[in-house]
Amino acid sequence: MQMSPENQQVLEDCCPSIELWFAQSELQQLVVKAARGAGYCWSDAEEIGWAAAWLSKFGLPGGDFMLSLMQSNDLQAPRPATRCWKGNNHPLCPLRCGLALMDFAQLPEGLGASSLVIESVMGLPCLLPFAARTARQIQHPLQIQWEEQSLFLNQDAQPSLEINQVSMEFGKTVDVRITRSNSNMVSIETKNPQYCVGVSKQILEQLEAFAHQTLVPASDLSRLRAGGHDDPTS
Amino acid sequence: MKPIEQTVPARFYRSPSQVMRLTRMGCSHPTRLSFLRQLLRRLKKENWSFDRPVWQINRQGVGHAVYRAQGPERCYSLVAFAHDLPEEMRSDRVIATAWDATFTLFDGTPSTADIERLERNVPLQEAGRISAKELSLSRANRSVRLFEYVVKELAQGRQPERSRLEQTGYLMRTTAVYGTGKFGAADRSTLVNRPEMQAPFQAEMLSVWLTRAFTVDLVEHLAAEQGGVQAVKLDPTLRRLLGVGNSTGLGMAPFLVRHPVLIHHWFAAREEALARVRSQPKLAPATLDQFCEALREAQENAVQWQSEHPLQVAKLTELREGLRQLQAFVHEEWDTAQIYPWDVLWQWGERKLPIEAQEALLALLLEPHGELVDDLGDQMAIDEEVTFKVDGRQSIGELRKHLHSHFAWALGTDYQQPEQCARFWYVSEEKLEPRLGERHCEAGAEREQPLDIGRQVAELCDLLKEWSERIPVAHLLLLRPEFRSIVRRVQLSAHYPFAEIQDNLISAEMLPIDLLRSKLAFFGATRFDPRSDRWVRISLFQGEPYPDELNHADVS
Repeated sequence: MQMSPENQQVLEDCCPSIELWFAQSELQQLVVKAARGAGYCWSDAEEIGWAAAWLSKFGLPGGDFMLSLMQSNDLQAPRPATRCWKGNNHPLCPLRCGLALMDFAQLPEGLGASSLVIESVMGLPCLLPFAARTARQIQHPLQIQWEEQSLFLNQDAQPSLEINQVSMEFGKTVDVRITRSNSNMVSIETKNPQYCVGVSKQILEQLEAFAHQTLVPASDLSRLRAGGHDDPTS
Repeated sequence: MKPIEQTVPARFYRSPSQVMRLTRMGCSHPTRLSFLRQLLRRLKKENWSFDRPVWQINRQGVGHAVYRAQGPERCYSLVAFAHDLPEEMRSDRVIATAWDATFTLFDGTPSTADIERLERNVPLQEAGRISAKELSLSRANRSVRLFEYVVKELAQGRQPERSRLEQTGYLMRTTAVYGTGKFGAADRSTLVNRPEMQAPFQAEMLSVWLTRAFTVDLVEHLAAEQGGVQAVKLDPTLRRLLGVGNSTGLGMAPFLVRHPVLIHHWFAAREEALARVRSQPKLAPATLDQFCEALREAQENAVQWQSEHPLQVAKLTELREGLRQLQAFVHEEWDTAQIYPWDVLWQWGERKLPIEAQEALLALLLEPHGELVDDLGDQMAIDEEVTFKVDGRQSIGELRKHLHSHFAWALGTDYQQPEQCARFWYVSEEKLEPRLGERHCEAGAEREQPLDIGRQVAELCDLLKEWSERIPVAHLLLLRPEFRSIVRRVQLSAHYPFAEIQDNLISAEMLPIDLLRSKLAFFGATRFDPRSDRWVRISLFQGEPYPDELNHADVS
């Protein structure tokens, strides 16, 4: 994207580094459009936008992770079953797993009384926001474990401070264990939300390129039908 | 937050199927619950103070000014930039790139460095970038004829003619007012703990109200520059006649569809207010006097309210005639000694008055009942985040029941018929302007925005026919994730009955200005004057006090 000198000045004004600062809701709207432009249905795009905002609110690069999701192929939906969800020889999609986790949370195939393992999930960070919403939905804290790492999510959909330390890569496939936690979340410090989030110029350009696919090119007819017959001299 | 609870017997309420139709929404009038009225009441009650710490405007009317509103805990500053706009660049369309004046509402008092930063960005509007220190971004153009006339008259030591001020009603009209979360501005979530920002659109309303003061200061400044010692200031009585105009198009229409739970709270609060008034068993003489005074003012306003658009001309005729009938009934036939006298009046209005006048009557009934209804203003905001969910446990049978209970309006339509899917909502490449296209003769329908709620509901209804009653919704969404949004809306409808506009928004017959008027009435807009079926001018704060008058004014 070629920036005008004016916009370059704007960028320098607002962003001393290469990052542009967004309100959380503004990033959410951009990611919704980008996801739709990348080919997701509007329902999924709304959820992806929301998830990007949640991650960013808690200090993770939500725009980056969701962009990676948009660029991924061959990710599968899970087959919900009691205690363990598997795929079919392909990595599972974190969006599909996350949405199913919420939807099945209070069904036998979901969290049940104890824990659930979701095998071979790609893009773990994209699953976390939905796990957080699941905790809020069932009004019970959850523990998320993968490899040697773990964090907690409380019933207000807030993560524990471990979210600052855990290592998460989108491209890695992991088995995730989600457990109804016995920990008293009151005693576990949660991460404070932030409502102004930085997005790098490179990520922004890619999101905007996807988002552009939702726009309709202008024409004389469309201009006319936009209703603009107003007389500006009156 | 829980849905607004109904506190009076059910017979005093109107149903969502009556209220949420476009023909009625397109007759909406501002009420005392409108957002600008809520703002002024709060500012007055909390004894806010106002000053203008910066006025650096030159002889040509170019420069910047700062207007500050100081409340009990925080202050906000409107930073206004006045420009020299070439005539040929003046356009109210969103695709314009320059304006007579541009504004931002700053959170606090801006430093010199802040103003320098804003000066590089605010005049660019969408092409610029503001920061989390700002709460709004807006621009305005002059009403050229009135602005220049008023400057000339004041410069020559004369007051402008009252009739000319009444005819236009404003010196400048805003052409866009962007709120929180736009172009780098602060996120709405950062304001949730501020009582003065609880009601919807309070930052935007404050910005427009201070903009109104700026427009008058600017004409007086230019008059003084031109006329020297003979120049006079605008008479305060005449000044009151001026609001801030607003010229708006389709841009604000999608909001009503995209925020169903919020919209429910707006309408539910207003309907609760009406029901409370209707359910009053007796009428106090003082309340009756206030009602009659409000009716007189409404009749005066209806006479001054001018429009040349055929749709609005017909509505104005109905309004004037309806108010005349209402006045005759009130003074000649209405037995105020009956039990539930306000309900008697309301029911008469529903039988005898056209919709335009019925909705005016609603506003009039609320007017003398501030103590009874003003608390409902606190219930017109909602944290939408907590309602962004789907109940996966719900059975298909239960979902189907909600669908048939709350979306019957959507199910009787054949959306395959060309006239029932004639339009599509889209976003144009040109400055991301929302537009409405003709599906059968215009390109771009494959990039349609999902505002076709009725059609989506009908598709869901068809889909559910293939599913067994007892299966949980979770299974449906696993296989058909594209239905998640509409399933959520159907589930929400059980708790938020005013969440949906109960009309086909892609029909050939749909009038977008009905959507615009409904939303603008909640803002508090008056003098609705359509320029087409999708473009409208209105006035905000007309007749209301200015900052320097607020402490002595009646803003009930």
